[in-house]
Amino acid sequence: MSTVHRTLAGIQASTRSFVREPFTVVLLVVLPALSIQIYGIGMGQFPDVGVFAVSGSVATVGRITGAVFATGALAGVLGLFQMISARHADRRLAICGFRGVELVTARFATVAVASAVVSVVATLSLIVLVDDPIRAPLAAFGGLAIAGAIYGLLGIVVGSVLPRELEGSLLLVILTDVDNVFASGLFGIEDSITQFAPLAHPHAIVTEAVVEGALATGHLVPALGHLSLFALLSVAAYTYQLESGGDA
Amino acid sequence: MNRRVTTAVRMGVREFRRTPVLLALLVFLPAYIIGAFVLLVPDVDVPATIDGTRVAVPMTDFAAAFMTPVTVAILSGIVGLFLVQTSQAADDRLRLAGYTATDLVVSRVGTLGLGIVVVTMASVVVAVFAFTPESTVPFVAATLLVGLTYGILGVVVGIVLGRLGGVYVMLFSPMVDVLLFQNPLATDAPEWTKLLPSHYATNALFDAAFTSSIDVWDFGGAVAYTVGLLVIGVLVFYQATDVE
Repeated sequence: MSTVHRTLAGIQASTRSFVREPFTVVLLVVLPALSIQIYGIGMGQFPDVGVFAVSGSVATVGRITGAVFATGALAGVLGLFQMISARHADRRLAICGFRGVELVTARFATVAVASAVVSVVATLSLIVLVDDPIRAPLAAFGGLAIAGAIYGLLGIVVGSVLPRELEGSLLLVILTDVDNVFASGLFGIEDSITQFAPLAHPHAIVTEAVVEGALATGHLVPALGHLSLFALLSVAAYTYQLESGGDA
Repeated sequence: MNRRVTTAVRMGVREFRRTPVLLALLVFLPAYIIGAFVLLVPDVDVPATIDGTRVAVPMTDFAAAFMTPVTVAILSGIVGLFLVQTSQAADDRLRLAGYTATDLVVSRVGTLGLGIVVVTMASVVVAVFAFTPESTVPFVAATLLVGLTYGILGVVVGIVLGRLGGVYVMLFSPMVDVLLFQNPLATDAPEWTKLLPSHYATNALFDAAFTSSIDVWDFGGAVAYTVGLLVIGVLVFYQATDVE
């Protein structure tokens, strides 16, 4: 079997195992819209008391926060469970002759596809739910896709380093929730600090696209920087767990 | 408590102890969340609604008090979710070995309770490093009630939705309920948010944090909500383990 065939077989197997859980597929489609609407209502109840470092109406920024959070969280949890559930299968595939690079490509590709699907759903939901028309939907999609990819990779890192469902979920859920609050502008934490939060730049890209109708070029490079960093970390973590027998 | 129950709880605690990473996370994560917010929020006063009155409170105190129930809700929910998920196979075997339905329920509730106490204590210790609640004991009690509420919810969600779906739901629920809809900074909270799981417990918690009075109505509501959820949780648990 050629490298391409082996990689495709890996992607197909991962995707199939995911699609076998129809409830999970439903959640991936429903949760972004639900999250956007709930965050919009939730943040709409806050008065403008100078606590929130947001541009645009608080309700709109709430919806954007809901979209970024849903995309990142869904992709992250998917990446985590993908790694944990596939750990033993990957070891057996490695014994069968699959190379590490093929396996890691298959895992990344599955997470990337799922992230892209969630990003599309989140973008469409934003278009429908935000009061004013979104003038730069592609830029909004781009920001959400980066958020999903970063968290998909983070899920792979956590799943490789901490391959236990309870501990991995605890860590990922807390990281996601805290990161989301940092990125949202809630609590008015300084930009010099929040810029290190992985969701901060994707959040800014989506906000600029929705509120200003422009591409936030100043945030694109740092966002891609975060993406590259997590890609490197996930390759290193995945390779480590494969070589160490998956008992990291 | 009979010997079968104490044995099952002891085994549950031993399982906790065998996973030092879990214990480390349960202690470290509260420090990370509450500590990060206390250190990073600006040093200003914010207007918050406490006991029905709009008052100005320091942002650092607010962050410490507010992130405590958020942290406890998230951690307790996930612990409840995985406790029931990991114990299902063991429960079936224990049933064959002669455990009654009541033994199993009391054992699992006991183990869950211990986990929630650990999470609550870790979170409160971090919070009181940053600020001193006006009424410490009610503050701890209200935090524990938030933990119990979300721990039981985690159990129910774990049984009904499974692991992946359950993690999704328990990731979103505390953020939406506690962080968004029980937030004292809000001025126009919709009426239906009073039906959310943490409403009464967080009200009691903020009263305890910033006033010397205790609202019996909020505590009573929180206890009633927790007991109601516990009844639902026990029924769902009975159904899932097919006992009796």
